[in-house]
Amino acid sequence: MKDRASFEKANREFLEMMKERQLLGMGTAVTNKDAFILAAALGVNHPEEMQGSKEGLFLYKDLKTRDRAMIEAALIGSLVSDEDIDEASEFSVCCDYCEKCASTGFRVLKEKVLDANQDNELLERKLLLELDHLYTQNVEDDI
Amino acid sequence: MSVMIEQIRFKNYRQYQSGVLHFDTTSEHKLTAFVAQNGTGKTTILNAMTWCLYGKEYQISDVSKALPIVNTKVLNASDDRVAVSVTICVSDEHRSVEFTRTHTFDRRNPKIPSAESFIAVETPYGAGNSQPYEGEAAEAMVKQFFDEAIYNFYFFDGEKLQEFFHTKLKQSIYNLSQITLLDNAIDHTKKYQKKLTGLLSKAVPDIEKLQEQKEALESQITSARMLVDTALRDKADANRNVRDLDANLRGYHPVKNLQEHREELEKEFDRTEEKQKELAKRQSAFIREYIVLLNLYPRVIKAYQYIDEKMKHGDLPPAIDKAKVQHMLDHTEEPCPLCHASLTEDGIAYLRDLLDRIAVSSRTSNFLSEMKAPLETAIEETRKYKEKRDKLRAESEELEDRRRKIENEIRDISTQLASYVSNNGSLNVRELEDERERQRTIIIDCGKQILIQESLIKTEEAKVKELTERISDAIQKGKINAAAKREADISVKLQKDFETVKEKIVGRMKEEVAASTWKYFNDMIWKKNTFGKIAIDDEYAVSVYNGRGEVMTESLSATEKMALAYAFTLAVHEASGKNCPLLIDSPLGRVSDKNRERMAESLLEVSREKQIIMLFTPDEYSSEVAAVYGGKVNQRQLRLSGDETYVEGLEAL
Repeated sequence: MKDRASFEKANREFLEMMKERQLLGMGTAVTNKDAFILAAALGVNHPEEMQGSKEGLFLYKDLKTRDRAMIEAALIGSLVSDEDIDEASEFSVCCDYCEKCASTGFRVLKEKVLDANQDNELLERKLLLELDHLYTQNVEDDI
Repeated sequence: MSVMIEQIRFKNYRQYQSGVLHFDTTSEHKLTAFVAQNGTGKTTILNAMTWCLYGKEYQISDVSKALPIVNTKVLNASDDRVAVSVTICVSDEHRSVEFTRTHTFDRRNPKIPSAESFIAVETPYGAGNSQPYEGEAAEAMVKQFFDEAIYNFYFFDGEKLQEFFHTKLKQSIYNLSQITLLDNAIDHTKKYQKKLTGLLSKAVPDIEKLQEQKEALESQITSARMLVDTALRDKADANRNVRDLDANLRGYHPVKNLQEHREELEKEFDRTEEKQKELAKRQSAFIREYIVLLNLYPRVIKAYQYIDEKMKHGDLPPAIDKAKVQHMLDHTEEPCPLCHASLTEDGIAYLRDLLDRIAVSSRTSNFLSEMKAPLETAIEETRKYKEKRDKLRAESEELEDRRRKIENEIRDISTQLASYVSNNGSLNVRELEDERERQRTIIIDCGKQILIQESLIKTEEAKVKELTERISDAIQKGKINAAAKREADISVKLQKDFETVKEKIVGRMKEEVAASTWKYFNDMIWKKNTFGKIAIDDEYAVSVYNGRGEVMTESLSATEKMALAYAFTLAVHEASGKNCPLLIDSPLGRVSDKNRERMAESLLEVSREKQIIMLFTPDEYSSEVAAVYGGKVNQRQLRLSGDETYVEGLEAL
């Protein structure tokens, strides 16, 4: 039975670079599971099959309750009917879905880092603007 | 190795219908002679042999114009389907093998078989069990005894001598003498060399060059480290100097208060900077957290609402366990777990309907229920985005204001001190202040230098790591290439050796074949002064010379050509080292009376060592031949039945 989430091996170097340069505060305090959920959120609307060889990223057991719920919600919140609910109500199934989202998300994150010339200040400034936009688009009307 | 054909069995095959023909394999002369009128089916024996072994009747030029392979009388008498088969039993020193080809025909379509099979059953002598082979494995077994590529060296048609000398003898002889194996080995070594050459042609990175690059980088890292050390020392010195200067200024009463205030402000400045760094970390964490929350919010809210709705409808947890209902439907033979009565059709229908109405199973219910609370927290947090963002912004602005204010105050004090003129000249405050400013500039510059050099060291160390891996790869590749080079050298030598061996075998074989052909030819021909020698060229074309050294192959009579064909076939068999049987149709048909006796005697002599099966017409089997073979060979008569539908003279199956 599957006990860990994986990502494309090719992303390892990128993740190491993020940590080394402490981009988005990624350093020793930010774990692989945090990076995974971040990437999954960035790619949640465009999941793609992973390319090339895979590598284990973190064990399911290391996830906190809220992290698990977010991973599960990514898939459960995409269902349109009751038909698939029994199949989707399985953590490993939800995590497999998020692996695909993260596959896209890591690519999106790479593009953002390159656009900011790997400069953390510039990157965060741009991201804050995007967050404002996301808040307006996704949340504000809902409150 | 002597190969013998023990018997051939027919079942509904052409005019041979059903029966068995045994061949002599144990007598002093292993020669079997069948005598039959033209049209009886002599050549059909040859066809039965090639049909059984290769699936083709080589003596029929146009199958579409020939009668069906199935015996017509049997076919007409059958209601439905008829199976035709031919079995050939062969043996050598180690085993016996039965080859059986079977075709089944529908009465309505006697030319195209509805089913086909080919089986070889090998029985080793001694304790081994019989082993059946089918398809390609059975065909491979045939190749061990009668390679189809050279079938005309085993199944010889005396009426088709012209074709015999026009077939590709060289390849056939190579196959028979297994020179083809050497050719294959040569081909393989050539292909292997090509593969190795491909491998060797791939450039191995220049290890020395990589090593030079690595050393240059390491040297840069060493220099950078030295610069860091120097900067750290200079910075420490400058810090000490600033502290000393500060102490001097603090000790001078007129500027004591200003200096102490500046020191307080500088400490406050450092604390503010620390707070800003801490805030930057919190801002990064905030961005990471809200990238997740805001991007996933639509999914989170939808999942939450779904769960909430199910709970409101009483579906979570479900009143009825979906899995249990499913189990009851999957096992309708079991009684109801509640009332223990058998399930009726109505009951089953009700359960099906119930199952459709239960939205989620208990497992799903637990899964969704556990999600609800953390999702609630996530939704609340997401909605706090603006509040948190504004708080961070305000904090950031406040710290920045504070920092700027302190900076300005420090600058003002420094300006005052730099322009201070003492009245008594006991302490030159201006000079001290200038020196302090210089030392502080050193501290800042050293700090920058340390950052730059440390960043450079990190980058260069990553490059060194990569180069180390490349060097290691190159060393490994170099080792592989050295091994490949050794293998290539061995392969070239092997190829040369194979070619030398082949050349020697071919040369020796040609000599042996030429000598043997001449011996057999000379034995069979009555003329003793006409012919001088027989030569064989590289393509295995046979040439006969007269005593004056003139080629006279095309001037040979039909008898002489027949003798030459026998002599050459027997010579090739002999040279190959594989003592195969020889089946000859019309063995003496083209031979004139004078030579017939000599040729018959010659073949009788050969049959001491080699099995020969001959198919004669009564004319061929003349009184002279009968006199030679009488009592020494297994002579059998074959004739057609009265209604001319089958051959008589076979033993029953």
